Amino acid sequence: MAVWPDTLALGIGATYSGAIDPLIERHPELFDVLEIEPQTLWIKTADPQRPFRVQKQVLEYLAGLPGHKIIHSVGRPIGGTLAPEVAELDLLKATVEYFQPPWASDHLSFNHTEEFATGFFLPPRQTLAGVEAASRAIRRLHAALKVPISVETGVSYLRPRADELPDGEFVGRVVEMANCGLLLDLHNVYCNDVNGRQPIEEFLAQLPLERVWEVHVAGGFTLDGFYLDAHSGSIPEPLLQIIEETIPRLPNVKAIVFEIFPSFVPHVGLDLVKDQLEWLHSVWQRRKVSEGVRPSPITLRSEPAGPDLVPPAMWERALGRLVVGKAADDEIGRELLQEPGVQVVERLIHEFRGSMIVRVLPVTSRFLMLALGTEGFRTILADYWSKCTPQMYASMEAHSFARYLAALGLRVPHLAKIVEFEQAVLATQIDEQIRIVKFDFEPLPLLRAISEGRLPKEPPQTGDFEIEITPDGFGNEARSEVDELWLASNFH
Amino acid sequence: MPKAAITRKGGAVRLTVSARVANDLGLLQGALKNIADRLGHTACATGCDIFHIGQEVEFGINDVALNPQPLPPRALTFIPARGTITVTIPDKVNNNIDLLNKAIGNVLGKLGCEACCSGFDILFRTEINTVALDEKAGVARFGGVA
Repeated sequence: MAVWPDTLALGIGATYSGAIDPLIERHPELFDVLEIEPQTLWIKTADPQRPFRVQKQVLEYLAGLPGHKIIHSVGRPIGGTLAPEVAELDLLKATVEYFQPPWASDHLSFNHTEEFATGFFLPPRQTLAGVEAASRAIRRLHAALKVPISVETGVSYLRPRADELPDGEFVGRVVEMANCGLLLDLHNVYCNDVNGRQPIEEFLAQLPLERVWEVHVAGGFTLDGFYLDAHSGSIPEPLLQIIEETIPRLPNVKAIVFEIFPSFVPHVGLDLVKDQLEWLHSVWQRRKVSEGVRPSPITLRSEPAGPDLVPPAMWERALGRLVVGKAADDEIGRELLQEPGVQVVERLIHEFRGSMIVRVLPVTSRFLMLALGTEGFRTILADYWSKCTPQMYASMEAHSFARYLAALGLRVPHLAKIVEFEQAVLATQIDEQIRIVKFDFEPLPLLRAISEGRLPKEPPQTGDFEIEITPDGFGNEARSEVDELWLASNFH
Repeated sequence: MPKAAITRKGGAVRLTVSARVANDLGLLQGALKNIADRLGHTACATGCDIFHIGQEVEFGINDVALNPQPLPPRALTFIPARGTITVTIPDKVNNNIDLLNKAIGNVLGKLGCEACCSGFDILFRTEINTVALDEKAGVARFGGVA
C-alpha cells in the first residue's frame, strides 16, 4: 500500500459545498482541486441495517465538477483512541474507491467518547501515549482506505500544558510514527498562535515539512477573547505573509485549499471567495517546484515534564464531558473546568447544534421563535442541550430535538402538528417515500405565515386537510442507483 | 420543475408538495404564495374557492429563491393568551433571507455531518436575528405556554 501520493502537484482549490456552486460554474479555472467532505453528504438513518445512505447521483454530480477531487474526512478524526464504526469506515472506503483521490485526509483531533459524540473537534492528549494512539488510528485508516493518508494539524482553544508536548513536536512525532503525510492547516496554526499557544515559526520548525502534501487556509473572527477557526471569510492580513513565506518551504506540497463554511457564503459573497482563490493562484505560481524530496527523520527534542498521569482515553472523556455540559467527575476534569477555552467550545457547540436544528427543522424553529420569542426559543434550546448530547448528523439532531419537544409538552397550539409535519418531511428526504400528514385545521395559512416570519392574524379554521409530501431532488429519479451504492457498501 | 398541487381526496383538501420545498422556508413561502395567488385569494391558501381545487402550480426553484419577497418592518397584531405580539423583521436581515435560502437551502449536505470547522456556524444566529420580537410586549405567547 502506497504511503506517498503518486501524483504531480494539483494546484489551488476549495472545500466543496453547494454554496460555492455558482462560482464553480462561472469560474471553473479557479478550481484545480475540489476537496470533498464525504460525511456532509451522508444521511444517517435510524435503521441499524442501513445506518447511512448516500445517493450515487450526488457522487456523480461531484465527480462531474471541475478539478481533481481529494477526500477530507470529517466524521471520525484520527487523534483519539476510539475506532470508527464499521459502517462509517466502509462508506468512507466506498467513497474513496469512487473518487480515486491521490490521498485522503483526516484531523488530528477527537470528537467521540465511549458514551457520546462531542459535536466538535477537540484537541487530543499531547503526550507520548497520545502519539501512539493517533498513530494507531492513522494506520487503521490507511489499512482500510488503501490510499496515502495525511493528517491535519488541529486547533486547540486550551492553554498549553506543562505535562504535554509542544504542538509542533506532537504533530511531528505522530506523522513520523505513522509514516504519513501532513495537512498543514495554516489558519489553525495561526489561531493557536493568536490564542497563546505555540508561535507559528516555532511550530513549523518542529515539523517534517517534506511531509506536507496539502495546505488549508481560511478566515476567522474573534469571540469572547478567542480567535476562532470559523472559516468565515477572508484570510487575515498577517496570515497572508505567513502563507507566502511558508509555501516555498514545502517541497512536496501538491494542493492549497481555501476553506469557507457554507453558511457564511451568503454573508460575505462569492466575490470574496473568488478574490481569495485568485490570490492563492498567484502564490502558487511563485512557489519553488522541487517535488520528489523524501522526508528525513526529524530531531525530537522535548519530553513531557513528569510522569503521564492522564491517559488519552481519560483526557477524551473528561474534556468531552465538559464541553457537552456534563459535570467534571475526575481530577483532570476539575482541572480542565478552569480552562476559559472549555466554556468557549461549549458555546460553539451550541451554535452548531442550534444551526443544525434551524436548518433541518426550519418551520418548527421559526414557529417556536414567533410563538415564544427568541429568548423563549433559546431557553428551550439551552434546556435541550443540557439534557441531550450532540448528534453528529443533522438528521439525527433534528430527531433528537423533536423527541425532546414531544416530551416537553409545550402548550403552543398546533406545535405538535407542525413538528409531525416536519418530521415527515425529514423522513421523506431520508427514505424517499411519499407521506401524508393529516390536519384537523387548515394548515396552509399557518405554514405560509411562519415561512413569511409572522404569526397568522387569526387562528386556523377547522376542517379536514392533508399535506402529501413527495420526494424530490437528488435521488428521486435514481432510486435503483441509490440501492446499487448501498449494496456496493455492504449496507444490508 | 417542482410542483405544488391542491386536490380534494375524499373529504379532505390536500396539498401536495415536495420534501425539498417543504424543508426550505423560502421555497415553501414561494409555493404557498403561488398557490394562493392562483386560487384568487391571496390571504389564504386553501378552502376559499373550491372551484379552483385540482389545479397544479408549477414554479421554478431559482425564480422562487431569487424573487424578492419584501417583508418590510411591520407590526403584527394577534390575539394571544396574554399581551400582544409585535413581530419585526429588520430590512437588512430580511434582504438576506432569499440569498440564505438560495445558498443553504440546498438539500445537498443539509442532513449530513457539519463541514470541517472548529469555529462557528452563523446560521442559528442569523435565524434568531431574522425574527426579532418587540420586547415591550413582554414574553410573546401563542395560546400560552405550560
